[in-house]
Amino acid sequence: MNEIELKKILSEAGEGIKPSLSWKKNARENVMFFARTHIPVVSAKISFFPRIAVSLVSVVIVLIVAIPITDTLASESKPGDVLYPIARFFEKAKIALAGDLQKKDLMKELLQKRVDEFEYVTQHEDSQHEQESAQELITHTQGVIDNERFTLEEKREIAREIKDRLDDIEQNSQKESVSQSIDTVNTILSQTEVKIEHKNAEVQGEKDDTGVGGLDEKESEKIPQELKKLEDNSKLPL
Amino acid sequence: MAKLDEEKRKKIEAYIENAKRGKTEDFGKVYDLLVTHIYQFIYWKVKRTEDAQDLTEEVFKKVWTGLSSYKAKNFCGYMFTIARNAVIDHYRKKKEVTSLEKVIIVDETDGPFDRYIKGERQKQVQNALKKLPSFYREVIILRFMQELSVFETAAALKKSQISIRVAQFRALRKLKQLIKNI
Repeated sequence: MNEIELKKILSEAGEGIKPSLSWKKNARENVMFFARTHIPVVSAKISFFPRIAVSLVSVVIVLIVAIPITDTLASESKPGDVLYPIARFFEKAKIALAGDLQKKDLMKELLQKRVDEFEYVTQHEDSQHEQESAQELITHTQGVIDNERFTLEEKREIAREIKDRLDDIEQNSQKESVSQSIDTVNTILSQTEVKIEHKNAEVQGEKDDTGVGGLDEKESEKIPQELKKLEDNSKLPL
Repeated sequence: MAKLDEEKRKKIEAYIENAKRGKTEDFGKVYDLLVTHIYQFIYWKVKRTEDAQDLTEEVFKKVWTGLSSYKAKNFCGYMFTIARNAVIDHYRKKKEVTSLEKVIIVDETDGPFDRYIKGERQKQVQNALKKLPSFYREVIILRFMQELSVFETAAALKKSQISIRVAQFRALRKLKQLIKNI
């Protein structure tokens, strides 16, 4: 059997199967009834790129709604809470995004908050989170003192406020570990005073050069050494 | 059976465009032109008259339901794809496979000897067809029994035209070997 013959037989075999006329008629009626009573379904498919756009918009909407809610919930958290690391993340983000003026206010505000948190853990005798809170307070204090956006006078003002509050916390706590942490913070805060003295000494020295008066050579040498000693103390472990 | 020639295909495309606009009667005309082809295709795959009838009706209903999503200008290919999927679903639901009914076509004008020879050959072809791999069998049914073009067959089986040509060549070669061995 050659290929032509085979194709012919296949074609005949195909033609051989025929549905009965009565079935064709009945099926036609059924199909037409179906067509009259059913509206073709309009496909709700979204093409590829709009689908991506829809997904992105959904994500953005979820973020817009979720971020403020999470921020609000997290801002009330205390060291040891599940949301505390999230709160710290939002704080860092806010500082990074803030302008120069707002950055200063925000850092001041957050330093006060760290003191509040430290006070809270000492009041609740939560020794597990006391270390964590103390470390946060030390880091934040160092951050403010080292920040060049603040003038020395502003730093002195902040240092006074924080020292007063830490004195109260120390008096109420009576715990050795709390006192140690407060000493470390106080050492960092003292750097401002030393720097101011150093600056005053320099001004005085300039006056002396012009015959107005100031510190002698030995006293001038002592100030940077004292400043270094304070900085080293602030790095000691709690 | 009237073959699916070019004129018929053009008519089908025009009727379908009208049917998409809500002209149900034109869908009826498409039914008239394609019902036998779809029935035959399904019959060769399910091998039972009742199943082939039910599935053919179901295919037309499915096509009507999804008509708005049809955009390509290859309605025959599209229709056979729906039919093929309907058969696949049918086999998923019902695992048993009944044997192919013997269909011998004889031309009444042939003499008794010619009729005998023709009948024997058709039996051979049918038996050989059953032994072909499923994909080759589909290609043979669509290309030579339904006389679809390579383009339409490729669309119906969701393969490239090259792969249809290759499969067709191999299927015919295999079919000839099988017939020799029978």
